[in-house]
Amino acid sequence: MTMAPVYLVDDDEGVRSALSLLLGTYGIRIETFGDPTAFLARAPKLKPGVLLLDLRMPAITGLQLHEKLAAIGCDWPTIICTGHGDVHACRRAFKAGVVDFLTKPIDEQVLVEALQQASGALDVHAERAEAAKLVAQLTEREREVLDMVGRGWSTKEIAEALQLSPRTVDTHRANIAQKLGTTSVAEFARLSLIGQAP
Amino acid sequence: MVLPIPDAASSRMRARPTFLRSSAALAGGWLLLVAAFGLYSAESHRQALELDVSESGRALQRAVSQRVAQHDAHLTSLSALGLAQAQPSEDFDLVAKSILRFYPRIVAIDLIRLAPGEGASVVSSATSADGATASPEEVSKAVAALTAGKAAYGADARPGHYRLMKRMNDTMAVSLDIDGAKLVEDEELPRWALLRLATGEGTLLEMGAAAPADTGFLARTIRFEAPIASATQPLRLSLQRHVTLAALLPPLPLALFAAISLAGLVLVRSLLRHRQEAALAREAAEAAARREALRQHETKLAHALRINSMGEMASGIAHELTQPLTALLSQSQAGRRLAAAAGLTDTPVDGVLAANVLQAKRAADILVRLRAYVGRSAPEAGVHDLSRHVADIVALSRIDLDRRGIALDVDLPEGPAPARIDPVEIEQVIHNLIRNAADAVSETGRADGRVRVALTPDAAGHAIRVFDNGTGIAPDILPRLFEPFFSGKPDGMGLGLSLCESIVERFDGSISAENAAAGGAVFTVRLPAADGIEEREEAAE
Repeated sequence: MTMAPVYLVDDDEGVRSALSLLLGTYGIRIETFGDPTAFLARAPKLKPGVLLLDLRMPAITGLQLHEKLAAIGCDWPTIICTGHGDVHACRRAFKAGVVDFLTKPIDEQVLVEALQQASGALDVHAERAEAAKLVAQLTEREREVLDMVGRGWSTKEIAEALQLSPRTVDTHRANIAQKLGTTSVAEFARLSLIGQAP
Repeated sequence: MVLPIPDAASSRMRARPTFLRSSAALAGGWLLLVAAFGLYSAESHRQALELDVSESGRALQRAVSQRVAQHDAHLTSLSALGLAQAQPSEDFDLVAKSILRFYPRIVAIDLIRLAPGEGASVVSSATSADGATASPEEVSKAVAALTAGKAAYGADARPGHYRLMKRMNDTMAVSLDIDGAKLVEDEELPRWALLRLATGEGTLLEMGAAAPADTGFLARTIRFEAPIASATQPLRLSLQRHVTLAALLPPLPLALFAAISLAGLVLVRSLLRHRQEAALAREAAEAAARREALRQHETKLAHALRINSMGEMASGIAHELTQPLTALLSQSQAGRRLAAAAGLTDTPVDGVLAANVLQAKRAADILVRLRAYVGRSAPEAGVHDLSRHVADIVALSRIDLDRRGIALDVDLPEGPAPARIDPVEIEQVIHNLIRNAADAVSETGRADGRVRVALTPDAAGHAIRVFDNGTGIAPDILPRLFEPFFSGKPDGMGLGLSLCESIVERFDGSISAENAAAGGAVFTVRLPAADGIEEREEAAE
């Protein structure tokens, strides 16, 4: 599994360069930012990645930054790191949808594991976005048919349920296969499941 | 615990009445009272005496008027008798004598003949036993001047006497000699009375009590005067009473009243004084209680500030140390990986880096323990009325700002503003912000220094804003304002605002600062609203 890029936002130069060096030894691509506001402006142009945000920064907290990024569509997996390891801030962070909350100084193993998990979450995120995009191409009727195929219904059963001829159902299935780029029923079920999730 | 502004209490104390506080005022009040009583008493006595005099006078006037009217009747019958008997007759004498006997005030009756050309002569004359009649010549002369058929009054030389005369025709006339002193009987005249009968020409007679030579202080005379009802005898009756001060103002009741009123006033004064003293003592006790409450509040706040400042300092130190420690640990771990990649595992360099990792983790553990120690005191959050606590802390801050000549205004909403907070901690935040604002104002040295605290509803709940008209915040300082150990003041530790932020965030709030368009700075504390107020505060304090 390839690691997604990591975007580190921390106002401390020492922390930025040390973490950059450390993650570099793991072959993880990392970009660092000292100014949260500048990052906020850059983020929409960046490739989706994992956000590693310091909680306490001047002018804006890591949590506020996370919320603002989500608001402009960069709702990427976020890890908050802080010198204040208090329970209260931790609770608030998880409430805000942060995937992990790390206390500084961060041990390399803990950090790398957290980043890998977040990267996985980003993959799922990307996969879901892709599936949703594919499913969105289908017509209303095709989506109904896809749903039924996913549930393991036969063409005949679907035709009866929808009061269509089996031929028409087959045509729908052919169109669906073409639009989704697969003829596998298992893949149909997966896309139907994650592509239509809210 | 609501803290009123102390000034209001002292002004209320000054408004106490000073009625009857001094002895001079008491004496003056008493004299006034006695004088008023004296005036009233004298006036009512005078009115009673006036009534007495006028009633007596009227009775006498009635009696004298009746008697004088009888003279007219006598004159009429006598003149008829005199005409019927042109010659002297025994009848006339008989009647005249019986009149004299029954009416002692008529001392003589004369029947006079007037011969034209020659002098008049008394035809018949009756005289009472003790009466000394006037000379006949004089009488005749007076009669001769009269118009026939008319009765007339005639003066007489003797004191108190007058005549009533009538000329019947050219030749005959009758004259009555009347002793005015006998018009009034002795027992009819009150002891106090001075009676005077007068005609148009002057006093006819005076009888009764003589007017005292020395009228005396404040003495006066009460007088009744009325004409006697008679066409023929033009008399006026006057009755006088001389009244002394003692009569108007009986000394015993006055003295009694003076004594009782003095005692009453003294009693009232001591009662008032007692009540006043009790009220003063109560007010003093209340003021002391208020001061004590204020002092306790201050102490509590100062204590919380000490504790929180210590925590904030430790937490600030932890934060500051954490950053380099993070760099140190990560760099050392990166170093070890780089060394391993270069085949330097188990070399002294790797050992040094491993030791660095160990020491960095050890330092981190110390910081964790420090934070755990500091964060041990969990905030006592309950739902409280923000409005009330803002008012409290404004009252407390007002003392200091008044001393520094800085105006402090406060805008609070009508109703309660419930929020989940620890009141002492939030008060500490507002107190800090007010003090900072006052410092900013003082720095400018302006005379119209003003700090305003406003609590208003906000999208997220409540917003507490602290405005000042000071210098405002320099743009380069603004982003670092809430950092620990960063201070805009030369002798500041840089913990105040950092502490405010920590506290506010603890209650899911936020704090921000900006420069107001009109100059000066605005600090805004936002706190989420809570549903209702749990009144579990120190009500019994």
